[in-house]
Amino acid sequence: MTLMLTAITAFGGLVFGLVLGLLKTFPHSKIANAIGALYTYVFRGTPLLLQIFIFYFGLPILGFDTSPLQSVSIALVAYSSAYIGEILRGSIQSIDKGQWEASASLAFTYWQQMRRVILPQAFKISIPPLVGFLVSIIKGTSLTSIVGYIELTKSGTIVLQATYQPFLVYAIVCLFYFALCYPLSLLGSRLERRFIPSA
Amino acid sequence: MLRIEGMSKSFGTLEVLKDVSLHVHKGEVVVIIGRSGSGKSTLLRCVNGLEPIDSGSIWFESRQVIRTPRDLRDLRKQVGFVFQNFNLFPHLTALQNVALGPRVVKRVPKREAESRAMEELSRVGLADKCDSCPANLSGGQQQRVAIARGLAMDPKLMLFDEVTSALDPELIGEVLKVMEDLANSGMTMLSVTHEMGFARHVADRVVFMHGGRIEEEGPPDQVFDHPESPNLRQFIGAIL
Repeated sequence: MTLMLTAITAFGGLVFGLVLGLLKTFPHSKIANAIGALYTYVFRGTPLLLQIFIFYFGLPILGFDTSPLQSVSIALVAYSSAYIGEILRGSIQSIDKGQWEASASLAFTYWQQMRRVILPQAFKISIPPLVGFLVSIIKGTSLTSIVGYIELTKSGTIVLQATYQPFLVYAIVCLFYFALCYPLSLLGSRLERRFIPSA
Repeated sequence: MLRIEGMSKSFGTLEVLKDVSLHVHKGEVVVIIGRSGSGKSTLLRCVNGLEPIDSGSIWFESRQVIRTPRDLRDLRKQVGFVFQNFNLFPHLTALQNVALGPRVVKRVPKREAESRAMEELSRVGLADKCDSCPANLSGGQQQRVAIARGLAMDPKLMLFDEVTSALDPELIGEVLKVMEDLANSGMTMLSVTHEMGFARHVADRVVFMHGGRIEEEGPPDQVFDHPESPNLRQFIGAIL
């Protein structure tokens, strides 16, 4: 379940984070920039735990019939897209102005520039911070145990209630998290080496 | 082919171009010279809309360029631009750099665009570097790829913005050679440069800019050997 939550969060976070990153860097609309910025302030400026509470308890009150998985997924995606959007915004803005000018002088439209020239370079720059954030979101999924969602930490707690050996059980749970995060970090550094040539 | 009428441009309170008018005829090679800060590069950047102009008009092939995004793209399809800093796309190989414009803008199929790109790379003498990334090319090679990238769009006019100024001295020659070949092939060119040898031998007409104005223009012999304005005389005295 932790794996599934992580996958949903990573995928959803990337998609919405990309939308946010594009909103925040869109040169022709101050309103789009402001919407992106406001979203980031709200979701980055409040604790993840409270966001999980609000979506988990709030959505049913508003009349949405969401499963626990859906509620916590929405919360995690909402939270992580704020961070990923900010990572992508920074990367997009760090691309040299000459890249915009070169593609403009080839008669590219704004979206052609973005897709063919700017984003491919921006993604490469984003890989290290994205992997770092993803690792922290794996650990962040443990917060969903508090609303009773059965993921890794909650499972540990359930086992604990049968065995009464908190140190052992939680140490093993930690090992599981590490086993998830470590390969991701390795993958990250491999991607980095592949995409960023040493020149 | 290109007609600039009464163009003015300011950056804040600094007037960089003051009522500049310039004509470039088909097949002509026009070279703009002048001190740093005289407005040469800005003039070139205004022509293809990298900088907006404050007043005046630009006419290309007898049509006035209206500065809507669509009209600018139409113009840019026909006008190539080569930058001082090359501005190659670092995530693409030399071949992909040259093929990208036709593929994206003119929707040329990949294979066709790449064989055309190969031709352009051969033309600048870099067919063997087609799979190299820009980071692994020398400055002179990068600039030649950049010229090939411009040519692949079938431009009617090429703009060169101090294309040898960022190069090591020993690499300047190879780029100038490519430009000279291009001029001999009949390409219409408007070039800002500090290479006076190139201006003298390749240009049909030399334009001297000073303080945001075109102060003198004429055939190379006249401009270099019989300069009229004191500023031009001083400029030529300083560089020769």
